[in-house]
Amino acid sequence: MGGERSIDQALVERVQQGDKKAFDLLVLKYQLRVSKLVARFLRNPSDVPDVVQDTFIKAYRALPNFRGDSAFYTWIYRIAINTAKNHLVSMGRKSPAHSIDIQDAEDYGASDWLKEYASPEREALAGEIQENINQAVSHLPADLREAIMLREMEGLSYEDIAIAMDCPIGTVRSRIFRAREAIDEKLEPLLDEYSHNVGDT
Amino acid sequence: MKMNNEKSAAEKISAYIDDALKADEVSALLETNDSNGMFSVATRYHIVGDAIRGELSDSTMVDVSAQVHQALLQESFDAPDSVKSTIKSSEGDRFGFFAWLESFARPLTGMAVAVSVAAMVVTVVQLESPENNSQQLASSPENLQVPTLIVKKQSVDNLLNKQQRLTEFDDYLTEHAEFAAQDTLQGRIPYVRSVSYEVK
Repeated sequence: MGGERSIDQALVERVQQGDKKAFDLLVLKYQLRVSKLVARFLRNPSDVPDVVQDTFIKAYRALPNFRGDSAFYTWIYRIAINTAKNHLVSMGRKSPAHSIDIQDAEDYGASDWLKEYASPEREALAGEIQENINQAVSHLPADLREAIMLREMEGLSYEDIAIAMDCPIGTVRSRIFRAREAIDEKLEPLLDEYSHNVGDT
Repeated sequence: MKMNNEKSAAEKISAYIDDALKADEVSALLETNDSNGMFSVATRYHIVGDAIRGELSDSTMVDVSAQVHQALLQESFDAPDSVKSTIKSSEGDRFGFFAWLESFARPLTGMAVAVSVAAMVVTVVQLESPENNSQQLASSPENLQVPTLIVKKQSVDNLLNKQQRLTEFDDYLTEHAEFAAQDTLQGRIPYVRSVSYEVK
């Protein structure tokens, strides 16, 4: 996955030339990681979306000054931390005195956070989503299941999965997509229900 | 069944979130018109990944892409100077003889201006400085004369008058510099006025 930085940099350059859609792609790629990072700081989970949104808007405004000396994620990580700290200050709370490493933030047990702050309804829905996805994974054809597990559980690159499964990289890419698509068919109606319930609460 | 276009875009998003998208495919993904569909597909694929890892949480469900997209529609983007110059040069590309001519003409014009200024300075300094200027400097600091640049039509009469006025002005400055402290720049060199500022 050595192309991550070059694709990110290419997208950044497109944004700098006025292509806002390129920024959409950067948001799509990094919003989950930024959400987890921000959730590590904030005590109130309902504040996370606002802070994540602020982070990306600030990043967009600051992009003319981004020269690509560091990776895009490292750069937006700093913006996210500062935005979260400022949010805590504005809410009259003290921000964490210690700095948090990117890897520590990503390794932070999000499920612990969920147990501590989630409402019973949300927890039930999250449990239902988890169970449905587990079932969908278990019903996948063996080659698709192996490909998606190697990617999501082991974090292997497509190149490494291709070696492990003894097939071309294009086949790996296709298998992972087909696995996601099959799981997504079960997930989509549940998420509609989830977002409907969250909206109600 | 999803339409082929949707399926193709979803396949690219799947590769993109795994950092496995080829550079030339990025453009195709950017041409996708259905931004909202793209956002929700990416979010669901992230959820699938988190669920498989047993890390499903409320933060997994956070999808601000549509909100950020809407907010940025109102924003104007101030491109950095480096990018502006790149855009400008790519917009104003010239080809053939004119490009060749322009590439030579620009530095030559600059050089011609520099040579003209230098020639004028040398000429004026030679006209203004008396022949025994160096001897005067060495013999008496009170008669110190500063070479002065005057850029205007020169005539012999004007030069003589000016020389006389400058000599008188030098004498005036030297005589009235006794009140200046000798340990200051003004006391030592009465012709100089220095300006400084502090950076806080």
